[in-house]
Amino acid sequence: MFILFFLLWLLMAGKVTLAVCLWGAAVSALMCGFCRRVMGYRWRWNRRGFGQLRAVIRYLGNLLVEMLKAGFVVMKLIYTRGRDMEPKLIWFDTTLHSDRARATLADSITLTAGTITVETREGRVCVHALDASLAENIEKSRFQQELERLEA
Amino acid sequence: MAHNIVTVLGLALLVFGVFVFFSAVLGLYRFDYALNRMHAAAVGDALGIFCVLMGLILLHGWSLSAAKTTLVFLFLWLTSPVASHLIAEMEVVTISNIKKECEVEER
Repeated sequence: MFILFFLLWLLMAGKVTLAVCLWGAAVSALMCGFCRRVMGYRWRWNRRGFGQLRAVIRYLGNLLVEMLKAGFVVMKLIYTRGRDMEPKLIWFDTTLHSDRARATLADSITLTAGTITVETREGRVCVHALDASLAENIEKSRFQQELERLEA
Repeated sequence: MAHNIVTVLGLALLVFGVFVFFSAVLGLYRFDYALNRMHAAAVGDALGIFCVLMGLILLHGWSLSAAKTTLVFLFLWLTSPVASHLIAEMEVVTISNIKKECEVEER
């Protein structure tokens, strides 16, 4: 985590000098301490880390593709004035267990234009879809399947 | 030659990104309910931002500015869904009869 903060500091500073590095190290250490004590973050070495990293990159790639595809679908609906559009509010159960996976699923659904996560409560997710076609099989979506694999 | 192709590609992405934002604004007027309008705005957040920033990265080439632009992607895409959740939740909680605006389905 310290390295991530330090790299972010260098990127924002835009130059590498002794003063920048010293200030960066001090601020990164402070931020690291804050995250560990107040927010409870822990860095754990995981033997499956490399495999998971590949799965996370694949997930992010899929998310990007889905975001762009959904953007075109909603643009089409805008130019056809939403002809035959059926907005829907859908409640469904998610099989994900951890809060992190559920939050990731909710954010992924919202980032995909045409669907917005309204609420997640006790394993139930409420999604508003601009058109019924955008919410077909949303409870068995690719995002959910990939997150299940990451969670396992 | 390669530089010219990258410049044309960058400009095309930039212009298309502006068109996407225009469509998003048009959608705000064409859709008739707050939650539907949010979807139109989301097009700008996802496709519009992607096209404009990728266009800028291509035009500037890989540099410190491009790395900072990538950070802009990251922070925008981390924060915009959170804002959307809150606005959508507020709308659904406060509306007197949601079934008048859209079908509600339990799966």
